[in-house]
Amino acid sequence: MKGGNIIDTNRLETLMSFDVMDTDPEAIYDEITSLAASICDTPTSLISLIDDKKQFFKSHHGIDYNETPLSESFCKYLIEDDLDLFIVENAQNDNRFAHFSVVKNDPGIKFYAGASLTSPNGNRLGSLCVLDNKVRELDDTQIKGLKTLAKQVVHLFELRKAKKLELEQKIDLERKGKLLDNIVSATGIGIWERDLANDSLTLSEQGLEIFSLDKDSLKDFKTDHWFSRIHKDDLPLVKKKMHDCLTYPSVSCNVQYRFLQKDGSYKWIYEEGKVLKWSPKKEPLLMYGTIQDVTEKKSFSTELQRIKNNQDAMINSTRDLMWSIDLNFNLITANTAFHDLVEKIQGTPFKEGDPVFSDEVPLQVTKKWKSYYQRALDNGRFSVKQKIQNPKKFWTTYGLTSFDLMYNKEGETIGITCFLKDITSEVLSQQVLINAKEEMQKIMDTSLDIICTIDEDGYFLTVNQASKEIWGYSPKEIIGTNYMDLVYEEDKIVTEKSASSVSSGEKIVNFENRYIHKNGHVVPMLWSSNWDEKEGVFYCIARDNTEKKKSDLKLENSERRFKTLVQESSDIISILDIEGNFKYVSPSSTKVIHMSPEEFMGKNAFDFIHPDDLDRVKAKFDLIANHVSVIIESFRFRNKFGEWRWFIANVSNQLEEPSIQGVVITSRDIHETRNAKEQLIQSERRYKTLVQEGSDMICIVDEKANFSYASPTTSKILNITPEEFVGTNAFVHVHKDDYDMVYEEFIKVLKIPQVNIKPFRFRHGSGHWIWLETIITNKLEEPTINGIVVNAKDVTIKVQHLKAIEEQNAQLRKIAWTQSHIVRAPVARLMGLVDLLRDDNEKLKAEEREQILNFIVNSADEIDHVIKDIVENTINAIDIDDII
Amino acid sequence: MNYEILLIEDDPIFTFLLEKGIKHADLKGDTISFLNGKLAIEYLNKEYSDQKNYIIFLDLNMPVMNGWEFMDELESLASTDNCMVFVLTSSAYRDDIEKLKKKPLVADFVTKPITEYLLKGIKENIEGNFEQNQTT
Repeated sequence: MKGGNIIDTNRLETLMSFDVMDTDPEAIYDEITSLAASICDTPTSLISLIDDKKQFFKSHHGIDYNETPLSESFCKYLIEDDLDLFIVENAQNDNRFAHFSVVKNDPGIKFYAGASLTSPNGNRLGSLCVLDNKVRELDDTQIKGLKTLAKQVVHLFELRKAKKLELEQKIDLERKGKLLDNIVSATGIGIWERDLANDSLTLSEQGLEIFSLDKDSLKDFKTDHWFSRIHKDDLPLVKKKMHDCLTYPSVSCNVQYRFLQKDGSYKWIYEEGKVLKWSPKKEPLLMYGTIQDVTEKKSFSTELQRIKNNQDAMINSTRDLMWSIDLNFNLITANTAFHDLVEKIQGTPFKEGDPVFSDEVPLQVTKKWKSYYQRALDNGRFSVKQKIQNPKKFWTTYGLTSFDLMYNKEGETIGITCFLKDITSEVLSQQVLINAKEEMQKIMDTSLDIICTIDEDGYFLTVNQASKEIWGYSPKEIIGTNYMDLVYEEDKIVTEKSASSVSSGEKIVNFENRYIHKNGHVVPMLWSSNWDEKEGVFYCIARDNTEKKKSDLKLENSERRFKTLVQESSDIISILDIEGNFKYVSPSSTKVIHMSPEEFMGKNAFDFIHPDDLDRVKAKFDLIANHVSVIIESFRFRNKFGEWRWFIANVSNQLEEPSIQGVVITSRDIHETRNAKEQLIQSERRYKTLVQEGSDMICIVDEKANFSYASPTTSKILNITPEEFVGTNAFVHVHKDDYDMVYEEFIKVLKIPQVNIKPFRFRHGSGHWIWLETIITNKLEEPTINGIVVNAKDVTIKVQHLKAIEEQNAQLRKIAWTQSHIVRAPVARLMGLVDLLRDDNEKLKAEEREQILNFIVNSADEIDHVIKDIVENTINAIDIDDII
Repeated sequence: MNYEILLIEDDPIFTFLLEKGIKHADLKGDTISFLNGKLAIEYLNKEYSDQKNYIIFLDLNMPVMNGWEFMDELESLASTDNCMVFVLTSSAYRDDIEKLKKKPLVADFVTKPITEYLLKGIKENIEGNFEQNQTT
């Protein structure tokens, strides 16, 4: 196919492989074109290379451009037509080329001769050609020369290609070498080489660093130097390994040792080595190898070991059982607790690899465990709780065994791990808790009272079902609401107060307030509350107080009635049989005659009646057999203390009444009434005596203290007759020293009903003063009196006595003071001094003793004086006459 | 434990007896005597320190400044932490000491003459009080 050769990819690839297209001119090619032009005697010669678009001149002798389009190419015919040589004698006469610009125009090419540039693999790359603007011919020598030169060009291309490849390879090698270096230094591996013949060592940079050596010190670094830096504990091993390695025909060897660093510390070194050359006598000549700093790895594995040891210790110290078995139920490993237990059961522990079933345990136990293991293998991880009854010790223990599968790296099941934990205490405490909870719930559920907890802000946390009954709200509705929302408005303040005293630690019982029922009714509540500081909640029990309130009210009413009717009354209601024996006595007896109803039981009523009244009362009582009721007039009845009290009684026949079957006596204590009557009589009698003969005077004065009446006693007491008093003013008679006081008191009575005036002096009819104690009463509004009633009593004697006593007291006080301060002081001194003498006689110095004696004499003198004073003071102490 | 013991007493014989007694009872501390309350209060105004403990024996009837006046002054100065006052009285007649009873500084009333027996009681009272203060 014409033209197909041009775009043949194989050809193009070959062309590109020489890497010559579009490159700069090179002398060697220019020399060839020059030579070709000279051989063929042409002005122009080219090395033309053709790709799929253009032709490129690697060398252009005789023209000054280096490429043309394919359409203007002679050379492409070599490729298209697959020719080794192509000659055009006159292009201007050839249709294929006549239109070429180089043909038509300058330089006006006529002649072309091209030799193919054929690569060793047979591809035509272009040509070495000669051109001329004359019509020419080439002789054989010229053609041969052209062909030879064309071959030379291809050789040059080959050479060029080879050179380039070499360069590339070199660069690649360098790159690879660097990469290796990098890798080596990145892995931290040092490389060494030991010349055994000369005992010298070579180390890579990394190796120097690992050994902490520098290049200089390495110059004379013998094997002994190396040994000297190895840790003494590791040295024997290193020496042995080295010896092995140097013994023909060793393979590679490795060793780990500690190597002393410059700073005095040791590094863990991992070394691998190998003999590289042996002498003909099988002696090692050269060895090389690598070293690595494994300090961190080593300490990491030490740490790992330590952790493992700790874990082992923990696993073995626990009382829980841990063991693992393989798929044939043979023991892999177990902790100490497991071994101990097995040993206890069968005398010897299982060995690792033994089956984990003992002949010492019952078959069904073994069966059970087998089934557990199987279950783990079938279904994977599970736990099982066991109850273990120990028949010997009468107690029950609980265990929780967990089974799990063990896998190898590939994820295959290789065994079962088992963990048995004693959970007896957990189970027991759980049971107690559950029981307590259940009981609590039972109490809560069945309680008719509300049991609730409330948080510190007053929100219900829990409440039992009773709330529905009492407040109309179900627990659900209440929990989360504030209790205050339910409290009756008027009770909110007291409730709050109570709550705050509860939260301050006080335990409140029987606190009453009112709640609002869902239906709007008021429910009285009775609370007992307790504050739990730790939990921060109130524990409360609330009772519906409605019934109690009602009954309280009833009780209150009935109590009041009862009190009014029975206790408070002075009536005693009793039931007697027809003989007069007590069958019932009302409690009022206790109050009225100080005898409890019980004390009457079995006694006869007539035994308590005053002998003087007995016949009369008996006669009356006997009438009852034929009468419905009888009244017994006043009679005397003996009380607990043997005193006689006056009674009247109403007797009613209830013998036929089935619930009573007796005689009902209602007795009324009329003693006080009787006594009061008698007292009245007596007081009237006394009054008469008082007014007429007593020492009291009664006068009536108006608001200005003018007498309008005076009792007859005035004549006797004051020696002034009532007639003399009437019309005079009371103050005329009052002592001037007492006047102001009496006046002050008197005007008070105009505002208040009664005033006591303390004793003041009033002039006696015969001129001397007597002391009057007075009570004045305002009766100005009282129509029958229309004045101030003055009740006065002569207290002269009393006053005189009082004055005398006061005087005497003053004297006594003075004596007492004297005694305490004047007499006691010297006496006390004497006592002290004498004590001192007695106790310390021997210890005292002479002058001290002298001093003490002087003190004693002085004190005695003082006492003497004091006593004289006292005597003088007391001799004239009391003389009433002086005072009056 | 050391105390400063102040004797405030106008009667030289009592002062003499008290000094003897204190020596016998082995009450440790410096004893200083004053003839009346004024001298004592002047001394305290100058020398008083919270760090010292004071035992004061105080007579009531004295010239210039008596025991009651002294107590009024002392109260604004000392506290019960470091001060105990024993009031000396010549009789069991106590009307005049009623108003002193309520004062916390007053540890006790002692009837003259002060015997060794009484002083031993006082000593125990003092030690009990101050040692208790020390530990609390």
